[in-house]
Amino acid sequence: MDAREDRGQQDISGIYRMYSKEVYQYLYHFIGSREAAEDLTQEVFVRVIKSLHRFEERSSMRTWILHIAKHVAIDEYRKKRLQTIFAGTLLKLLPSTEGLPEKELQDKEERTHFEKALLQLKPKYRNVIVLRGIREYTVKETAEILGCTEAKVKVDFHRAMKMVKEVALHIYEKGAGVNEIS
Amino acid sequence: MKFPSDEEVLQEFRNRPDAVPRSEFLHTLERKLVEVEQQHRSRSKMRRTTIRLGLSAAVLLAVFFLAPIFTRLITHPESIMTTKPEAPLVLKGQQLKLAEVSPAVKQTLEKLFNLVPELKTMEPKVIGKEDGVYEIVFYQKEQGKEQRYVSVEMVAATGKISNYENEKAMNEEAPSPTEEEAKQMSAAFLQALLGDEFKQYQVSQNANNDWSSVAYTRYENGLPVFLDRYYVGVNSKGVTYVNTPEGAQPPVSSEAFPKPGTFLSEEEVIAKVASLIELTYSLEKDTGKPLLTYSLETTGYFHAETGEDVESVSSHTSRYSDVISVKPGGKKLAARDADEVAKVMAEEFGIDMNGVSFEADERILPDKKGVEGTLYKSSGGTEKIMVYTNNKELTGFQIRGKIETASSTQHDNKPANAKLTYEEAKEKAVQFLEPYLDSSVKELKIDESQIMMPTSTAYSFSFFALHDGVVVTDQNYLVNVDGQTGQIVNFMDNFMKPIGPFPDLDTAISREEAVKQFLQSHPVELGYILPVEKETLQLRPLPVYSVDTRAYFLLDAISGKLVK
Repeated sequence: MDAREDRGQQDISGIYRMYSKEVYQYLYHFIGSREAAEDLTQEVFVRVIKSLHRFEERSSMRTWILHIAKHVAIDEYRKKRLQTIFAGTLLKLLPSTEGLPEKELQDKEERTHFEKALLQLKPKYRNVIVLRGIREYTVKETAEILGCTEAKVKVDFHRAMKMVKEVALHIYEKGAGVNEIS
Repeated sequence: MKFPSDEEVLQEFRNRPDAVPRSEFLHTLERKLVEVEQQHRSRSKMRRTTIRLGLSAAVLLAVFFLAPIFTRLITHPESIMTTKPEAPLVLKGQQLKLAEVSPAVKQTLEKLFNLVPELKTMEPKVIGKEDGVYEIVFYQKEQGKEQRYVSVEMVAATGKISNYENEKAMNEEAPSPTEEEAKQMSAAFLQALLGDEFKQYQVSQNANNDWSSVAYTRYENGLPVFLDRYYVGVNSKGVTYVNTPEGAQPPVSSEAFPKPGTFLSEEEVIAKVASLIELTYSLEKDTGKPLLTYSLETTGYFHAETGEDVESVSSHTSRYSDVISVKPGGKKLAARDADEVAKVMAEEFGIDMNGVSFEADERILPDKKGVEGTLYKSSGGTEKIMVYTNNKELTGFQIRGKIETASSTQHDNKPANAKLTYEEAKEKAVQFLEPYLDSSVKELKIDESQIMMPTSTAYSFSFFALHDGVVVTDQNYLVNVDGQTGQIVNFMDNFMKPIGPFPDLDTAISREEAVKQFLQSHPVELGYILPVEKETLQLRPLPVYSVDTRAYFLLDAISGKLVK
């Protein structure tokens, strides 16, 4: 094994340890399922291994890996139309509501509406909520990961937050989901 | 339906227990990835060997022809005299027309138009990407929709390009170029943009025998100027991007680079790097067995003559506080169900539990082997409380009054409207923590670079236990103190019991031996850097040794073997 190969091996362990949680968390929030997030986290790091030699520090390692994660998430979304599949999964994950005080029940249902609402947004809005809102990346980092301008991140984020609330209200009032929100 | 604020909605998402990966999953995946990586490397090696044989002759010829040119470039570098930074000509977020950009940027744009003539016909959007930097995006209409065609970022005062992306070219499928094509196309493009300045840069191959991009690094007095570099992306059709990883460097004349003097000897370099590695105890993930390791804590550069640490724009190191002596109480708090959780929170931590009840969340918390974790969430009351238990003992809580969060990168332990000073808050944190410290803990250090579970109004303290004066990474406690009220708003006990004795410090290999191992695989490199002092980039290049901080370096201090 030559020095470069040795270094490559050390890099991937370090990179994995440093970023695996972040990648998982991003994917989890994007698709709403632990099982799917675990599978896709593996897919992301396999892609990282294969393309590590192409990493040219055009951005930080973190944003580069999350950029790959974004592509993996969107690929998966296209393949399986995640919003319908995981809305069902989320319902199964809900705790039983029996015996809960009224206020508690109301809180739990609201949270479910928001979870479902997020999964009904188009990927670009879902992404900006997950990265900027939930994961609290800076506007600059979010823009780098999504490959757009910082101004667009700000505009999309405000729009997406408004939409997620509107969809949640719609689900609450109609008792059902709506079609994908553009 | 009561509509929560944006922050409340986001906080609900953040607090989902499933959002934290299971530790078993992380361990299993790491093992899988090591296997995948080994297979990948073995395939790559075979491919590279084949390519190397074919390219050897071509490389030798290229070196033969290019060597005289480089020698001339080094001995007659061009100088550019401007050391005073200009006032920003554009503000972040400012929108303007192309005609309003600075004269220097207009000149660079003319050069760019010569390289990509179709840009002339497009109406770009111009915005201040940050103070003093334009982002100019050219669009092309396709099926009635505007598509990004080329984007370019330029420093307003100098016209220097910090980033150029030809999105059209990047999206088109094109085979990889040959070495000759890559060098020729990238050099022609960069030379057209940089003019005479191009002579200061030397070409090199990118990380892995790949000509999908070509690196150009500035050289002065025969030494590389670290971080002053361009990567030029190419495919067989042309240049796809130009990028400066650390941003376009400010103009610094060749005369400003001090001539190489007397640099540190090999022994002095070893001694210096030895001072940069730290002994740390950690616990082996699967077994809990204590390990003693050496790891690197450096800014990445040290002065080549004096050995002093030099900070650059990309430096980051842990900052451990002085040692804090403590009297551990070793107290354990039983919390077997929701009622006991409420009782402990009221009686032990003085939290008002009036009208508050807890419920165990059905979704299971990430757990370690043999540890059953439960998360309890409050309802009622004015605050939202989450309580964490492991094996029916309380190990942490989080209290959020009004929902407020802060990004750890923006927080910097300066909470808003604080009435307590950092030192006062730290004292409160230590007083709070002492009764619950494991009885083995006699000394602590705070990693001041870590801000965990932040809120905009709280100080954050990450305490690490010491064993024989050495930090134990897997024995840590988090205490966050509200800067206005002094209330403890976060407590997390992340103390892991070691299985077996800690290795004796006296049995560790010496720092010098460890450093020799490190330097064998990661030799230091001599060059120049523009230092950062008091958070400001100085236009005064210093000769430095660069230490490789990208590679993950962890050495078992007893066996002297690398920890994988």
